[in-house]
Amino acid sequence: MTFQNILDIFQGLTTLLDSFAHAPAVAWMRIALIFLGMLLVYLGKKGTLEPLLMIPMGLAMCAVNAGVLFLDPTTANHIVQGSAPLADPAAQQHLADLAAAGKMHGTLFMSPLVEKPDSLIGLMQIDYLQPIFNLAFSNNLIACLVFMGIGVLLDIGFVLARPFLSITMALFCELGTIAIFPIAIALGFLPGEAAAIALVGGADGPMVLFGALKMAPKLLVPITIIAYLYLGLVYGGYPYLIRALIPEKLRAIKLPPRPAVKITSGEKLAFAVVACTVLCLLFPSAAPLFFSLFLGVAIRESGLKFFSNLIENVFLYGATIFLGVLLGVMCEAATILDPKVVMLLVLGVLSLLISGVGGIIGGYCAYLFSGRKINPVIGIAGVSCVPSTAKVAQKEVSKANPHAIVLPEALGANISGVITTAIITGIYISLIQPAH
Amino acid sequence: METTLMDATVQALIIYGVAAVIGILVALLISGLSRLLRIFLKNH
Repeated sequence: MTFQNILDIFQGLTTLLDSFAHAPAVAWMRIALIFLGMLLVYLGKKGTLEPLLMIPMGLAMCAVNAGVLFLDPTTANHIVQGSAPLADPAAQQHLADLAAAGKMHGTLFMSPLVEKPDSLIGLMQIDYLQPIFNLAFSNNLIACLVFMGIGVLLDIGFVLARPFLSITMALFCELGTIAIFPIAIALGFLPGEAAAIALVGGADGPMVLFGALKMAPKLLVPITIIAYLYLGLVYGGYPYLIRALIPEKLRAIKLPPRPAVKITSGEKLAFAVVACTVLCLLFPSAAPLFFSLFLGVAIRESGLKFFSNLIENVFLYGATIFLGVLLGVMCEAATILDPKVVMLLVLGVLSLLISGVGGIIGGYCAYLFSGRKINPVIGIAGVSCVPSTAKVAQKEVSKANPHAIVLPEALGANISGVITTAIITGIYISLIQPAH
Repeated sequence: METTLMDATVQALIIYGVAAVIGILVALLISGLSRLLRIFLKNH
């Protein structure tokens, strides 16, 4: 027995050493991603990032980058022959040779790039997450289930109480989703890819997932990972943006007493039914998203407690854990080393920044047009990361004036943000050709 | 056909314009529906 054979027992280490010999960048990236995964778990536990998503995602990143092995020729051939061929024929031939020799690196989690049905069926018998990826993720089922859960949690009464203020704020917050599109085109992205990365500015994870699947399936993995990583930045970064752009005197503005508006569940239900029908009529390509969101709202407002509990406690949490695990598993070193990823990282953060600035501009407009009565901080709540941005707005206002309450208005803008982001996603999907 | 920066900017502005119009229509729909429903509930 040679030393090489003994090391073969621990294939995670052997593949790492093999990568150091043949592709050091991949090896270093594997190590970096393992540590990043640990950091995500830590930040999730600490509450800096969303724990429901970050803990499964971080752990999956550690596991997938540690658990790399030499795939047996059958599994490796399924992956090589089932995926789109590489642009470089020599590289493709090299990969095929490695696969045939049982020297190709891979994991037993899943292979997101495999497309051909017979290879997929083969891999579903081998990779344990492959069925979830192909039957629930890549067809948007998970995104729609999350959206249905959001619908059950939303009280659209906040929007119905002040529809114009809420929708206007939300429209200002779409600035990032619009401005990044031409910037990404200028950087060389295809229109579908540019639209998909621009949607990060909407700060709505399921929407980015939906948009990327429809318009830029090849960049689905990095765009979705970036979108969900950045959602944490909304909570951590927006307070600084608010403090930088709105003086404390304005942050402390107490809203005038609100007229008592009682919104009945009948009104909310009627709105959900009509809005769902109209939006599906206008944007059939985004109909699954609209339907899922408004189905959640309709179930909540109809008082169907068993359905509400099922969606909130089972579907939403079930979809979220699989979303976290799949996103983590997709963070493989080779995927992240794509040179486009660095540009996507910059564009994603820029998109969120522009959306936040747009929201504050909207807040200032509301402040000026209301005769300096409306607190401009409300504007940033139009960024549709429900309910994070509304909570951030209230927290910053409370710091400046503990007696000022803006949460109902902020939630109205926040929920409207979900609707306007869905509208913009629908328009992008309808107008932009998918990037293949 | 390659999309130029100018084309993309125009497309983005059109998309924003359409989204704004639909957003305002949704707001109008909300306030109109609320009123209609209140009248309906009063009469029944």
